[in-house]
Amino acid sequence: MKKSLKSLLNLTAFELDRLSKFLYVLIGLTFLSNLISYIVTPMRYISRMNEYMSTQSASSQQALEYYNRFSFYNAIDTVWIAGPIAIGISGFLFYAVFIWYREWMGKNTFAYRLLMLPVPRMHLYFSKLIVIYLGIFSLITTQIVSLFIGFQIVSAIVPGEWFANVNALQAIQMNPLFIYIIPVEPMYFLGVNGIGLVFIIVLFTLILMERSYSIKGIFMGIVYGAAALAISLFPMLISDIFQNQYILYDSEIILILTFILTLIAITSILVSRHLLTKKITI
Amino acid sequence: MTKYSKLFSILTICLLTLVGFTFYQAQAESVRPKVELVTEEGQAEELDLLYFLGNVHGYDSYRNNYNTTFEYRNGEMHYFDDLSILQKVDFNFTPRMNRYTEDYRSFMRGKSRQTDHYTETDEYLLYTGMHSDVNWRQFNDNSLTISLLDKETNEETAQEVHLTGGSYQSVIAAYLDYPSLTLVTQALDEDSTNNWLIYSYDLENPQDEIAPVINSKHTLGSPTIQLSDSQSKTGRYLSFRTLEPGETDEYDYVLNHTTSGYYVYDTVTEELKEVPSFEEGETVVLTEAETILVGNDLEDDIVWSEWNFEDDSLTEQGTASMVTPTIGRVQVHYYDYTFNQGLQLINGRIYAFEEDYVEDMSRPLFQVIDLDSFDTVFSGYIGVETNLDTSQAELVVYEYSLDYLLN
Amino acid sequence: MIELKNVQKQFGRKKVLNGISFTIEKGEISCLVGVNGVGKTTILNAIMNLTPIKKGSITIDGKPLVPELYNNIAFIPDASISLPHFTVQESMDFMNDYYDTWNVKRAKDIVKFFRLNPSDKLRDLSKGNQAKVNLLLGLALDVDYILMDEPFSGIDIFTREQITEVFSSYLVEDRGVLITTHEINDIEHLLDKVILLDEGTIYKEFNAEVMRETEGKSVIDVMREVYNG
Repeated sequence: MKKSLKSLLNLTAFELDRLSKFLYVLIGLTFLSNLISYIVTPMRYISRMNEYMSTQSASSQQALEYYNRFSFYNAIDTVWIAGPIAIGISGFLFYAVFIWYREWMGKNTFAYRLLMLPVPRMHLYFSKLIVIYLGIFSLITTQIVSLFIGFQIVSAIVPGEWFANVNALQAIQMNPLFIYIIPVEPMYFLGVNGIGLVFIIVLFTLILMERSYSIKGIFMGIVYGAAALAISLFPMLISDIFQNQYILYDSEIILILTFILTLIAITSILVSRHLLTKKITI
Repeated sequence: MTKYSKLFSILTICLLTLVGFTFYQAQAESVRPKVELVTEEGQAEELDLLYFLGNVHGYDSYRNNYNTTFEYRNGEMHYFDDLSILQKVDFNFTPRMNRYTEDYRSFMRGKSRQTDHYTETDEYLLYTGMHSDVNWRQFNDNSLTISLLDKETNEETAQEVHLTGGSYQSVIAAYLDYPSLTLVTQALDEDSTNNWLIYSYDLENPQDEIAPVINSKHTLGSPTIQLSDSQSKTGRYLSFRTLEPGETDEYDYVLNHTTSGYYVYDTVTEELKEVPSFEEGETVVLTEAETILVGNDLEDDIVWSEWNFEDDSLTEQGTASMVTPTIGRVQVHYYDYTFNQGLQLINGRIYAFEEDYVEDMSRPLFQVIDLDSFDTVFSGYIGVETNLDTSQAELVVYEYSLDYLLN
Repeated sequence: MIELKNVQKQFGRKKVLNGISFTIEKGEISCLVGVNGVGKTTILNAIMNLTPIKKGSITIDGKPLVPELYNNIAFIPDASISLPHFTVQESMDFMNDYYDTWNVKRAKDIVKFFRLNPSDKLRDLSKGNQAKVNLLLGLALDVDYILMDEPFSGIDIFTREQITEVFSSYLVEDRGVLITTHEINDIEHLLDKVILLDEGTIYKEFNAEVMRETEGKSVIDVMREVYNG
């Protein structure tokens, strides 16, 4: 294996080791919380149906007319599903900051060791970036697997005649939350992940600015972040500048936005490289 | 366990799951219904100019779901899902706008996406839209943009005209007989009530400001007016109708509206005249080029006569049997600003459309009548065909269009 | 040779290093001395590219420091630089993964010399043993240069003796060593060069032995002269 690739792999595996506990907690939380949804939601429905039938002396058909059939969608449109996703997203946002600052934390300054490794310092950068994305994709995978297992659980709990004709995939496609976090629409998925990636790359730059210039770096970071945001929003302002809503086709706006985000990402990586190799301070 | 095993196993699980999910989804989506024109009478070619956007939604007994948006053009289906993401975001769910943005992308830049703002002839594509139609932050200052594309030279000429006679102007239709342009707008008058205004404009003699030729509301004495929908918008005559409130409920809420009169405007003489009504049955009015066709709607049959605008004479042409008692004659909704959406006169043929329902399922029905013989040269419907044991399938036509330039 | 030429460094408006120039030769033990805050650690950090300098140049064998050169120069700071949850063995394995110059045999020797237990977790070690691990991770590298920042700070007398032994052992033989320390008495006799810093500049650069023989002054005596008056 090429030496440089080997060192990147080493560092990535090392960072993944350090992430794993946090990741396992998030995966466990997702499974557990989803499991509650898969069991509690249909059980609640069944008890409501039974209660209606006994209190109203109604037939199963009449109860169905009152409450409708239970679909898998009902079981996944709950806070037990959305909650761990929100925790996962905020968890990884927090981790994106933590992954750098922990090297300087406490009396053990591991940053010394990392910065003195005989590997290009950008390998540290990329290993941290890759690991964050690996973590995010692990949670997405967890969510997909959980949903398909969940469908089996829900369909086993709800009696066949009460269970609506919606399969796992349709239920996933119906839930607007999943359009962005599961590759239901590949381009949306790529778009969301692309924007997320640029966000993390910019965030890394801000952190490295702070680590290089301390308080001055915080101000530089705020200015840089605000500039990146303003430039990213520029395509949305074109119609206002030209006072014409149709001056650009939506596809052109997407292309411009993609170009701008790529430019921001490349600039941020170059700035980060400069900071990490020339300006970073222990 | 090597130091990479955790990395590679997580990577493999992620990849397998994501790829597996994508394949599973693609396989589930491969259930594609086919939409086809089913001929019950006549020749299917008669409807070659039919162009519409639709959606089929349904389930089959294997709990596979399908929901397909498609474009039906030249007798073929083009699936929305097959478009690239960039094509998808530029897609208009209005058939004509979609074709214009495809064929005249540069001309369409900066122009609104409302069918009403366009008129197309063999030689020209005309755009008539208010400034505020494209600048959503601007207060409507009654400034109209007129842009004309010469299809042959690909040259675009633009003019700005201020419309007087009302505020909050919006363009309903522009009729073109180059260089003469007749513009129909809706606008508010001083007491903030809705007005229908007709303007006349010479494209070769640009003006900064134009005043309405006719204020239809004043002339027709009715606040509720509708303009006949026209695919081509090139004829000499424009037909209007006025509505009056019908039955009311116990709280005086108007339950329905009925037609109180039909009127035709001559773009050459700039005159507006009432169309004679029939003692029995409803009236339908269609116009094309120099022709005004007035039909006596007897539900199963429509007796067609040609009306002479100058001498007011009505000459019977023939009777056409309609395949259903309501085809082409869509229900009156007072809030629509056009009527005749289901009935069009194009190149000497009447095209009738109706959203039919069979066992609670929508079934778009079409009938084409030849005006020489008054025979039905085509009747049929758009059917959905799936290769699966379909328990339910619904076809929705978003909007249909007749590509009148094809003939 | 490590060469510093006119190195300048500022923290905000405060000039910490103001035109520092000196060299470290292979086979030489040099010591940076000075009171706290005089910029000793900053010089070591600057040599290791762990803090940027404002002006001047630092070269190692004529070349500026690039990552590959970390295989040839080791820095032993006075803080633990391995992960607290790592064992001594894991810390060594980590070094072995990245450094071509990691010498497994020598590492074993040092572990034995310092009587460290490879399966102990770093966070469970005493401060003295943590300092030994730090030394282990630096000294087991086959490098030409070793920089040590306060190797005796806050450790007991017995550990100090053990560490002192290192300076006269084969572990530093033929290497260029730069050390910063307050506890100069224990190693004074081993030093080839003393660099005395004052207010960001080099006040004096001398050979400790020559100084004693010619002027009858110890390094501490020279420091007293400078800082007291």
